[in-house]
Amino acid sequence: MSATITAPRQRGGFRLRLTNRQREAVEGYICVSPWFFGFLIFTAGPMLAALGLSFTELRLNTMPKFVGFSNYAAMAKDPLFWHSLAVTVRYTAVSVPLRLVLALAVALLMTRSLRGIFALRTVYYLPAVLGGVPIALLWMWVLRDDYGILNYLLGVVGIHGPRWLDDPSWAPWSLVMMSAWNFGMPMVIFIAGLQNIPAQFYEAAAIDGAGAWPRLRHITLPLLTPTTLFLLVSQVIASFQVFDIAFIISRGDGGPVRSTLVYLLYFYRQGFGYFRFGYASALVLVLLLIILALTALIFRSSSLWVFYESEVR
Amino acid sequence: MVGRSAGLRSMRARVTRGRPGLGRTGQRRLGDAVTYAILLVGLTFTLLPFVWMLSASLKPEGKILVFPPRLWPDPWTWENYRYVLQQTLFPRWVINSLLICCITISAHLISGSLVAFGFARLRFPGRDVLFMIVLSTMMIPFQAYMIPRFKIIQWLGLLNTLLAVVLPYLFGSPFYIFLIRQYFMTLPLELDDAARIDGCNTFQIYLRILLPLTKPILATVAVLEFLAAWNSFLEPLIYLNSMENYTVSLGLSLFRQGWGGMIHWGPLMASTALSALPPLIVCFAAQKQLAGGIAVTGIRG
Repeated sequence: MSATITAPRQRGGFRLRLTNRQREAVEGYICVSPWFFGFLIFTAGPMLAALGLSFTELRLNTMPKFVGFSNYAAMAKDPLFWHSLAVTVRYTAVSVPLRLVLALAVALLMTRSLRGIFALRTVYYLPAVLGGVPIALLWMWVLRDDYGILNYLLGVVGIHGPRWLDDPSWAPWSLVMMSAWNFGMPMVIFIAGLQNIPAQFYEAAAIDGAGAWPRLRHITLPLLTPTTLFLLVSQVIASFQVFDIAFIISRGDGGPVRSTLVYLLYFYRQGFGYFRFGYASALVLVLLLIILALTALIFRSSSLWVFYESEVR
Repeated sequence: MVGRSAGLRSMRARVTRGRPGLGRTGQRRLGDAVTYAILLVGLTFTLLPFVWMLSASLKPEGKILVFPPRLWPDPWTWENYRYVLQQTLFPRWVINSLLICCITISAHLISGSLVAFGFARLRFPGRDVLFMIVLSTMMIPFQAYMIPRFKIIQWLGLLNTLLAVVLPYLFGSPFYIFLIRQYFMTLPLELDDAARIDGCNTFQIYLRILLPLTKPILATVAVLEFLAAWNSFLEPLIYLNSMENYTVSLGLSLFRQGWGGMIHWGPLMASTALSALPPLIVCFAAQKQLAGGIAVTGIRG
């Protein structure tokens, strides 16, 4: 055994090299087998099963019954499907740009070399380590319309604050506020992106006498677009999957008057409220398709606005 | 990469400071002052919810819902914390959550590093295809296969057990495998060859030579997984249904339902503060590890 091991790997005889190869292959398969096992049983298998289930009617303790495309047909006629999709799209369309702009603005300030900037960075990042449940609870307390601190502060400057959590036209905005507050992750990634912009561009600009705005407009923003693209894609994907905060503020029912019934909350209610597993599977697969299509669309559009240094224009 | 960007930062700082017009130092001081001012205003926005939560958690009942709201608790009391820790199942939920964190962290470190070692260091047919599958499953949201996974857990008779929450995560997860694999790739192959000449077999190379060198990335994985497991909500929500088995997040959502239809903000904010404490400590104590994870990808966000 030790002879095989100590034999030179590269220049051994043909037969010996082959056995070493085979041996390495077997060891390789053994090493990756835990993942492969878990992948088959808990990801790939369930994934295919979900596809299959979406063509069936399945309740909590029944056998699946094949129903063809009727789940998908039912979706097209389900007003709540369209409603929850609209709620989610509106939430994404407002919260993602808001979050990214906030994150970029703070990141730009954070890259100045100032005393105490690292401590500030950590504090700004704090909300990002919290889960959706504590975030929603914190904000429910801040946003209470009668005794909450936000409406009190608004009152000080003469604005009569709305009933954030009980008014259907304002409840989605409280979701937006919770997500905007949590901009630590994109901020840190923007900071990393900003620090990777080569200094010679700024040196050249300084020699040309370019001011702060032209430097931002013509150097920083264009060279940051690959980071922006990455963040845009990941934030849109995450935003379409919003669940925890909507579940908590509405006690799981998407209220008031379904104004916070985001897509996954509707999926959860169908699947684990009414145990309509077949229909819920169809819902979640459509969400997956929407996310894939959006991602593809953003990547397709990237050739118009993302600037890579190696590219000549 | 870190060293390089730090160098660039200082270089750039020097360049951006040199502006024409006003005196150089004067303009820099002005810019610094404005930056500080804006960041401090932003700090209020970031910290206000935390401070407001702490304030409520330290107020006696009857002093919480008052108008105008008072930030400073007068008188102070630990009553809400005492209530949460002694009269509710909260301590039990903390133990459950910690147990789940410990098990999944160990599992990810063991299977994650072994799988990553296989992908990074050994050659076998189909390796690249399999690794592409690892990468692509990283993109699929958990909800997409949540229902069949629930049925499997149900079929195994594990519903309402903590094992249900950890079982799917015992086999390594794509994101961590990817992180550790990237780290393995940076270690020179000569290490393996030298160890082999010295008589190590493959497993010994993994365990004795390479694993000790990957401690930094393993620490990052441990930190990220702690946060992920501690904050996880949807998965425990579908598997666990008796209160003794709840995790901290589930317990909080139960408190949110209120006691007898009424939300008691004092205990609710005290338990929220307690639940936020471990992640916040981790954020301060493990900044380097968190940054390590973000540097590779920012997928978790």
